[in-house]
Amino acid sequence: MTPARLCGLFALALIGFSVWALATVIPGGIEMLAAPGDSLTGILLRHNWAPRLVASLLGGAGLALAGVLMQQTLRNPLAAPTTIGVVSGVHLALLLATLFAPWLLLYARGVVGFVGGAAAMGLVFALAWRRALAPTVVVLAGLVVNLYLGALVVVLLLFNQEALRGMMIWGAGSLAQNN
Amino acid sequence: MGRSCFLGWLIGLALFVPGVVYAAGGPAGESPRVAAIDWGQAQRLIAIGAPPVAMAQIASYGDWVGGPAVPASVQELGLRVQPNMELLSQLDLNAITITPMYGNSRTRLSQVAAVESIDVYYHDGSAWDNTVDSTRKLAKLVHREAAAERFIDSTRAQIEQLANRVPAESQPLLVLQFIDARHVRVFGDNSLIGNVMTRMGVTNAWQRETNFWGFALVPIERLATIDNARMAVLDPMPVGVPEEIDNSVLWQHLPAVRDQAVLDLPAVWSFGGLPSATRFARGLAEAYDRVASRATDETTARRR
Repeated sequence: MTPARLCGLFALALIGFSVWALATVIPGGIEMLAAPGDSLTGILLRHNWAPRLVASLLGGAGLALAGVLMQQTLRNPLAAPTTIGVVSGVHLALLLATLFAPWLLLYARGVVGFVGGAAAMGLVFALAWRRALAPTVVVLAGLVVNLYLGALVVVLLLFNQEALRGMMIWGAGSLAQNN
Repeated sequence: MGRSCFLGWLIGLALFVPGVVYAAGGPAGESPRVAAIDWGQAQRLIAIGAPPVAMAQIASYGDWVGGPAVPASVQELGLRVQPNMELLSQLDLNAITITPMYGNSRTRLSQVAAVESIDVYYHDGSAWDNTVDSTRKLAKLVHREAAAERFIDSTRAQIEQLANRVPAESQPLLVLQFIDARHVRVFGDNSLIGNVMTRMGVTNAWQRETNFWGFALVPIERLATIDNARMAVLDPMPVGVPEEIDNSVLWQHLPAVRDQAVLDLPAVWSFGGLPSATRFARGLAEAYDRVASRATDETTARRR
């Protein structure tokens, strides 16, 4: 069995479970999902339950894809968004934007995160460049960048506990949706 | 024990004894010099006319607590979790007040002055009673017992008076504060805010589980099943949240949002003291007034 088939099998099982859950827990749930109308259950299904399911799948798939791409391009089995500093870069960029340029988040939350992640990865590459991006050096540089950026994140959180509470919830991985 | 070590010990003792005598005695008649780490305690010390010598995060206090205003004489201590020890030790303090929240700093702070831990939430009893009780304890610390009693009485009277402005047939109220566009804090009966609502004769619509401080942190879909309630939102709103909830289908369809106007309340420090309680009561009364005047405007407009 190839990995692709295995993934496909899991995905099918998941969709099956979702539909089954929807049909048994909420009578008429599937129709309501298609046309929520004004019923609150329909709106919860369409604008909360379904987006959360999709967000969790997209989030997981995105992280997996990013990991695979990094591992393949860097020929490094340890590469992942978390090990080469990308995650801390994104986190720091979003915290900085929340505190100092909140209007940026209204229009381009994704861009802010991307720039932060790319900058952190650039820093790791710059550190490991002289060793031709040797796998261990990249991972060590990633560790260093992670620790530094992580320290800055903690400093910002410490000084702005109240203002950044929403970012803490996001950082902890809440998937709640409202639209 | 070497001689130099013994000498050092003697010098230390010689410096220490007068220090203790000075700290214990102090000039007669003057109120004790106190530093407050917790905002709720600093707020109450200001309210009873004995502002602390120093307090932490004064700028954020302005945003999150709102009032009463910090006198210019109060010095800034920096972070509440990491107060400036050098400054504290120069301030010649008689006491530092903390809550059990800052219990971690106790050992460090006690090197500077006597640490008084006065708490509201870490023991049984309603938040209101414990807040009143802790106000008395704070007052005793700064020898302002009489002022504190006057202050407690006037707070009670003010809340009672403001309660008259709540419409008689008002619905249960859901008081919340946005953390981000998808998560809110809802205040239950056993929070200070919930206690003030009860004193004002307003029923709390949130009757589910709450945490230690009497609020619950929930995603907004949890509010969908609460019918027949009016929503009141405490400031400050995080950036972008007003825009995001305006466009949120889920928020707009919540029964409490769909059926009537949402009340806007000022920033109230929910872990605060009696000044926060009055502030909440006043904010609520004013919000009801605004809704009522808007309703009369609309009826007169319709009649024309």
